[in-house]
Amino acid sequence: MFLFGKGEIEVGGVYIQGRNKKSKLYKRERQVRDKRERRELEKQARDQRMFHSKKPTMNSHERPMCVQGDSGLVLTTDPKPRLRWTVELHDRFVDAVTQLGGPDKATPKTIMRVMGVKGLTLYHLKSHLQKFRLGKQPHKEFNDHSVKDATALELQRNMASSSSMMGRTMNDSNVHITEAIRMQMEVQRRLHEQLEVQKHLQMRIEAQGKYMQSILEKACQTLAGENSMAGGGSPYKGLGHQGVVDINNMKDLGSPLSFPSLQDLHLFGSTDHLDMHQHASLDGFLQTSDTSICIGKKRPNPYLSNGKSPMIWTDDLRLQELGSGSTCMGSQEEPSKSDQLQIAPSVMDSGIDMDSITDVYETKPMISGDSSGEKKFEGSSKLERPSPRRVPLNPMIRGGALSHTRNISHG
Amino acid sequence: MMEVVMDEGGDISGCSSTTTTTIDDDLNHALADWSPLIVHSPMFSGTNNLPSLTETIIDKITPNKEVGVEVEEDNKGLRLLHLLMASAEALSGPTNKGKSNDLAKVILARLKELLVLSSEIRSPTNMESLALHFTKALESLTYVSISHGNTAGAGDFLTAFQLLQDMSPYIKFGHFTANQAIIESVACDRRIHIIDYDIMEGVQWAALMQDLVSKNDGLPPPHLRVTALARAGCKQVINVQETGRRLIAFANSIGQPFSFSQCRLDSSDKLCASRIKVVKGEALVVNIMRHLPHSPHRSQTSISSIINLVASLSPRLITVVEEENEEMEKGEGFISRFRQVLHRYSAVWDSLEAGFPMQKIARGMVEKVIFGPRIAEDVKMAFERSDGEMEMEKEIGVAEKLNVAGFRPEKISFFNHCQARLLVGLFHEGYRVEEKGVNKIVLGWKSRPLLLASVWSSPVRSLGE
Repeated sequence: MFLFGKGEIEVGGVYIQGRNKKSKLYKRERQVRDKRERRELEKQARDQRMFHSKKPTMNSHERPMCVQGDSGLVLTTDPKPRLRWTVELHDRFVDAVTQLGGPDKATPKTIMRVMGVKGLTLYHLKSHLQKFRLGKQPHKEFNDHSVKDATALELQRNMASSSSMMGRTMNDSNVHITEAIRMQMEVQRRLHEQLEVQKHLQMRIEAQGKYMQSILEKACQTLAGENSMAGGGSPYKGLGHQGVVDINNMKDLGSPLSFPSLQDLHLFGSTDHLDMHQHASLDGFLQTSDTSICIGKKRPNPYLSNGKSPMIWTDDLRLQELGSGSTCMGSQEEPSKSDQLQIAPSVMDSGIDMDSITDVYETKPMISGDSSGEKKFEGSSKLERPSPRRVPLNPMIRGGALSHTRNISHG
Repeated sequence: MMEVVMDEGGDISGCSSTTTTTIDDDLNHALADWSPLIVHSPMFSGTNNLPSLTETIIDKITPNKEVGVEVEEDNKGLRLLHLLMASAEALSGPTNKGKSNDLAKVILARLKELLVLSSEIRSPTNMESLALHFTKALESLTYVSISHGNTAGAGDFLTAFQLLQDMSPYIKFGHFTANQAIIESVACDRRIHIIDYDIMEGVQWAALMQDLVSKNDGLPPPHLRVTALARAGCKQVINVQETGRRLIAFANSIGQPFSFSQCRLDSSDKLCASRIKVVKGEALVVNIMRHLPHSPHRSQTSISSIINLVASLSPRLITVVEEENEEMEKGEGFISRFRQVLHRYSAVWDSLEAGFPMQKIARGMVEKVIFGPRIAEDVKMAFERSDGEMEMEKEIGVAEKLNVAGFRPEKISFFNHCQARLLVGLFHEGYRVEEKGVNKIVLGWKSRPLLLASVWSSPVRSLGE
C-alpha cells in the first residue's frame, strides 16, 4: 500500500530521489511519512469498516479489536495484550504528572499512586512517561543548545519522539496522531525559521562590511594625502616589535581591507581560498614590522578552526544552485568557486553529522521552491555583480590577488 | 601546603577562597628578586583572591611542548599578575597616600622592566600584553601628569575597528540584536525615527538600512530618520557629521529613504529634550549602545539625560547594549573593582587569542588601539569611584534604571535569539549567549558575561497597536 516507489519521497509536492541518502534522519522521516500514510489509509479503511460488519483487519496491531476489562483499562486483543492509552486515560496521566510537578519531576511510581488506576503497571507508565517527556522536550531543549547543534539535535529528537509516538499512536486515538503531525510541522517551521535567520544574518554582515569598506576607502584616500606630511612616527614605541604600525604603512595595512572579506569569504567556504587570502593580507602586516612571526602556508582558517559554521552550508547550497547560472563572477573566480563547493564540506569536521544536515538542508530549497529562489538570486547577485561602488577600490588595493576576492565578498 | 588547582575549563570567574601558602611564598620570593628594597609581607596576609588569579593565569599561558618552559611561563605570568594586584593594592591604601603611591610606582616600574625585557626576546604572550596595558593604566593613576592618551590616528583606529569586527562578535552582537528588535517593532510603520545615543561610525544603521530595503512586502522601504547625539566639542561634532554623511551616501547607494540630523549636548553633557524634533506618525526608537569595545566612556550626565529624554518622549522601543558584570563581592573598593576589570579584559584577551592564535600583530593592534584606552578608562573609573569619602556603589546600568523607572520589558524573539547564537557560533564556540529574563540576552566568553542587550518599551503605550 505504499504510494511511493522505492527511494522516492514526496516533500511538499516535489519528488526527490531519496534512495542514495544514507542519513538516518532522512530514513526515519521517510518511515514516519510512510507510517503516516499507512495510517491514513487504514483510518479510511476503518471508517469504511464502521459501516460494515466487524471484520478482522490485515495488520494485527490495528485498532478496533479492543476489550474493556473490568479494571477500566482498554486492552487490545492481540496475542500479547497491550494497553491502549485512551484520551481519558491520557488526560488522567497528564493531570497526575502536572500534579507532581511536571514530566521531569514525576516518576512512574508516583504517577501510579496518584492516578490510582487498577491494572496499570510501572512498565506502562515508564514507557508512556518517556514518550511524554520526549514530546515535551524539543521546546525546552532549544534554549540550551546553540542553534547549530539544536538544528540536528532537535530534528533527531523530534523524529525519534514522533516516530515512536507514531508507533504507539497506531493504537491510540486520532488525537495523538494529529498531535504528532503537529509536532512534525513545528519542526519544519523551526527549521525554516533558522534558515531565514541565517539568510538575514548573512545579509546584515555583508551590509556592514560594505559600509566599512566605504569608510576605509575614504580614510585611505585622506591618509594618502597626509602621507607625505606625516612623519610616520609610531605611537606604540616601547613594545618591541609588536605592532609597529605607522601611517606610512597604512597602504600595506590596506590589506586588512581584505579582512572584512575574510568574514564574508568564510561564508562562502573554502579553506584554500581563505588561506591564500590570509596569507596575502598578513603579508601586509609583515611588511610593517620585522617580527619573527612565521605565517605558515597551511594555517587553518580561524573561522573554520572550530569546525562549526552553519553559514557555509547555506552558501554551499546557494552556490550549488547558482553554480552554472552565475555569469557574474570573473573567469578567475570560476575555479576557486568550484574549489569552494568541493572543499567546504570536507572542512566540517565537527561532531555534527554532515550528511544528515546537508540532506535536511537540501530539501529545504526545494520546498521553498520558486518563491525564494528569486530572492536568493537577488541576494547573491548583490554580492557578486561588480558594482560601480567597487571600482575605486581596486586601485587602492595592493596585489591583484586581493581584487577578485573583493568581488566575491561585496556587492 | 595545598596544591594549586588548575581549572581546565578556562574559567576565569572562579573566586574560590581556599588559601594557598605556596602562592605567598612564591610571591614573596618573586618580589624579593625584583624589589629588594621593599618590605612587603604585611600587605599580602589574608589575601584570598590570589588563588583565583592563579587559576586564571595558568589558563592563559601560551601552550608549549616542553613542560619546563611551560612551568616557567606559568610562573612568569603569575608574577605579573601578583605584581599588578600588588600595585593596585598599594594604590588603594587610604592611609599614607604618598607612601603607597611610591610603592605602587616602584612595583609598576619593575613590571614594565620585566615586560619590556621579555618582549625583546620574543613576542609577548597574551598575558604579557594584557599586563602591559594594565601597567600603563595603573601608571597613569600614580603619575598624574603623565597621561598616555590615545595617540592612535584616525586611520589606525578604523583599521583596528575593522579588525575588531572581524575577530570578535561584540559589536555585531549588540548591533544586530538591537536591529532585529527594531525591525520587528516597526514592521508596519512607514516612517521610523531613531535617536542614537552614541552613533560612533554608524555601522549599526548600515545593516538596518539593508534590512529595510530588503523587506519583501512589496512596498517601498519605510523612511528612516536618524538623530545622533553629539557631545560638545569641535571634534565630536565633526565626527558625527562625517558619520551622517557616510550614512547618507550608503543609503543612496542602496535606495533607502534616509535623513540624518544631530542633536548637540550642551557643555555639561546635558541633553535638552526640546531640541529633538519629534514628528507625529513616526515610530520612535531610542538606541543606546554603551561599553562596546570602541565606545569611549561617556559621562553619567549624558546617561541621565538620555533616560530623562526617554521618559519624556515615550518611544515605541528602547534598545540598550551595555556591559554586564558578574556579581561583585562587597567591600574592598578599588581592589575588587580593579579585579573585576582585570577579569573582564582577561576574558576579552582570551577570546581574541582563542579565535586568532596566530594573528598576533592584528590582535596586538586591536588591543592597543581599541582596548588599551578602554582599560585605562575603566581602571581610572574604578579608582575614582573609590576615591573620596563616599564610596559609590556599583554603577547601575541603563537597563536597570529603565526597569526601575517602569518601562516594560519587550520580549526578545526566537528569531533574535537564533541570530545571536548563530552569530557568535561563527566566531568561536567559546562565546556564550544566554537569556537573562524575557527581554535580555547576555553575550559572554566561556563563563564570564561581557555584554548585555536588553529591549524595552514605554509603559504608556496603547494596547491596540
